[in-house]
Amino acid sequence: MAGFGHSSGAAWETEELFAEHRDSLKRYLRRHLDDPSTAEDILQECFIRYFQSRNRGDEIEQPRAWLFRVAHNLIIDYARKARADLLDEDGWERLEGRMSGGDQGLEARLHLSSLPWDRLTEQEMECLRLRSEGLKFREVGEVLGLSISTVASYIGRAVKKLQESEKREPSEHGRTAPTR
Amino acid sequence: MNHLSTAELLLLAEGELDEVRAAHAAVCAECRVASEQAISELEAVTGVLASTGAKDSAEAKADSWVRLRASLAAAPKPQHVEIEDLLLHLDGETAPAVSEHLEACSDCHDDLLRAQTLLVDVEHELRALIPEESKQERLRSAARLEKALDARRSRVLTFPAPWRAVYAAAALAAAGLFGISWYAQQPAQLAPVMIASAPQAPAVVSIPQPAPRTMEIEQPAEPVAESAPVAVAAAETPVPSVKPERFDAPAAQDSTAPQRPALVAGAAPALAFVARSVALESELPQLERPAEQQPAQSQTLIALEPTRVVVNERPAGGIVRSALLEHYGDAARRSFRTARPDLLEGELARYVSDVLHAESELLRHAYALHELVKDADPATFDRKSNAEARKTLATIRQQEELLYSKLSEALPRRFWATKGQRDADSEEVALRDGSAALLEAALKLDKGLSAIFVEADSAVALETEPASLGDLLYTVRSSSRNLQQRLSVLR
Repeated sequence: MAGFGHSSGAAWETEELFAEHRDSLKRYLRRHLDDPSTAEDILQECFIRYFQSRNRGDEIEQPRAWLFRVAHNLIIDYARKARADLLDEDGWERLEGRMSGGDQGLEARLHLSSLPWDRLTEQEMECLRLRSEGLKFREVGEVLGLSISTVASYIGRAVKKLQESEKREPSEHGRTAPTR
Repeated sequence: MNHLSTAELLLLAEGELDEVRAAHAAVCAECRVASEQAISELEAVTGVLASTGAKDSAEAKADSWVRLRASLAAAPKPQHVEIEDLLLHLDGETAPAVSEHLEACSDCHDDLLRAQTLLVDVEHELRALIPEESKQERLRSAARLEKALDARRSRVLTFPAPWRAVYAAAALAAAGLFGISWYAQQPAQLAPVMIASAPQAPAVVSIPQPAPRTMEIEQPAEPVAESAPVAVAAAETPVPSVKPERFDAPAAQDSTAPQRPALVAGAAPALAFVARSVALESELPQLERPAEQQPAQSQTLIALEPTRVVVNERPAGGIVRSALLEHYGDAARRSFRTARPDLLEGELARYVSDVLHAESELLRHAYALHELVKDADPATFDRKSNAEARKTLATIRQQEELLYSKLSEALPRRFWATKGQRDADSEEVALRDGSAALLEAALKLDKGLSAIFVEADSAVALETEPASLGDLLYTVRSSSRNLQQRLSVLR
C-alpha cells in the first residue's frame, strides 16, 4: 500500500476500510465488551488511529490485521484502566458486566452454545475468535504477536478438543461423532 | 482424490503400473486395501487356471503377486499430516510436499475436511452469539466516523494559531490603511467595506450591477414535488437553458405592475456590506478616525451604499478554496460512486429537498433584509431597525451554514447506503453527471457565499466574473431539479 500524507486520501481509504471491516471488527469487540457503546467507542478509535497513521504517511501492509491489533490492544488497555478505576466491590461487578455481559451477556450465551467452549484455553479461544472473523492465520499471528505456526498450533489444539468432545458427548451437544 | 482405477489395480498386480501411480498405492490406505483385494481375486482366478492345466503360468503369477504383496507391506507407512499443517493448508501456507500428500492421502484429506467443517461451525456459533446490528446503527456509526475524520481533516486545513493572528492583524491593518486613505481622498463619500484582506496588496473588484430582475420569494419547506413542473431540459443536459419564470429577467417590464424589489440587483452587494459591516463593527474600534471623518450613519447603513468590494487574492484564499474543492470533490466521489435506485432515491430526494429548503430560507430572509433596509433613511434608521437587520442577518448566516453543511455532509452519507453495490450503468452515469452539476453549482454558491459572508481566514478569491447570489442559488436549484428529474427516471 503506497504511503501518502494526503488527508483526503487517508480519509477515503479509512472509510473504505470501515465499510469493509467494520462489522467484523465490531463483532470482535463485542465478544470482549458486552457494552455496545464501549465497543463502538473503541471501534471508532481504531479507524481514527488508522486515519492518523496513514495521514502521517505510515505504511500499513495488512490493514485488516492492523485494525484488529489496535482493537486487541485497546481492549487490553480498557480492561486495565477499568480495573484500575474500579477498585471498589461494586466497581468490579460493573466491570465484569461490561467486559463479559454478566448473566445476560456473552458468557451466558457461550454456555448455551452447542460447542464446548469451556474446554479451550483463552489463547485458543482468541485465535478462534479472530479466525472466525475471516482473518488468515498469518493475520491472527500479526494481531496477537505470535508466529503463524503457533497460531496454527493453538487452533489445531482447539479443533482437536472440540472434535474429541464431539466424539465423547455426541448427545450432549446434539451432534454425532464423525463417521471415520 | 485420484484413487487407482480397476484397470490400474490390475496393472499394479501385473507390475505394469507406472511409478507415479504405484507410489500412490504406497501412501493411500484405500488403494492399498483395494490392490490387495485385487491380488486376492487374481489369485483365485489363477487357482482356477492351474486346475485347468496352465500350471506353470499360474505358479509364475503367484510368485509375482507374493513379491508384490511383500513390497506393498514393506512400503513405509505414510506419514500423515499434522493438524497444524492441515490448517495451514487452508491458507495456502504449507509446503508443496504437504499438498502432494494431501492429494494422495484420503485419510488426511478427510481430516482436512473435518477440520474445515468444524471451523465453519465455530464461525457460525461465534457469530450467532453477537446480536446483529441494525442498518441504522451502522449508518450512525459511519456518520460518527465521518464526522470525526472531517474534524481531523479540517484541523489540517485551518491555519495554526500564530498564523491566524498574523493574518488577522494584517487584515485589520490593511483595512484600516485602505479605509483611511479612501476617506482622505473622498471625504464626502462613505467608506468602502472590505471583504477580508491580506498581507498582499488587495485587488479591487467591482461587482457589476446586474440587470434588474423580478422574483418571487419561495415559501420555506417547499419540497420539490414530482408533479411540479420542472424547468429542466432533457436528462442529457445538466443545466437548463431556460430559467424558471420567477428568475426571468424582465426584458419588457410592465411599468404599471407593482415594482418588486430587485434582489439580485441590490441585495447581494447589500448583504455583503451588511455582513461585513457587522463583522467590522466589532473588529474596527482601533480604526477610529478623527471625529470629522466619522460618518454620521451606522456601519450597517454605510453598507447599503453602492460601493466597491475588495476581494483579497492572498494565498490563504487559494489554499482554503483548494481545500473546499477537494472536500466537495471527495464527498461527491464517495457519494455517487454507485447508483442503486431503491436506496439512492429516497435519500437523494430528501437531500435535495433539504438543500432547497435551506436555500429558500436563505433567500427569504435575504429578501426580508433587503426589504427592511432598501428604503431606509439613514437619518431615521433607529436602533430597533438596526437590531432587526442584525437578527435577520444572523438568520441568513445560519441558513447559509445549514446549506453549507448540507452540501458538505449530506453527500457522503449516501456512500454508505450504496456501499457494495457498484455496478456501473447508464443511470449511475446520469446520476454522477447530475451530482457533478450540483457539485459545481454548490461550489459556485460556496464561493459566492464565502466571499460575502465568511470570515477573513476562509475567504475565497473570486477568479471569474463574480456571480450574483441569486444566480448562484438559481444554479443550485436547477442542478437539484435536474438531479430530481433523473431520480424520477430511475423509478
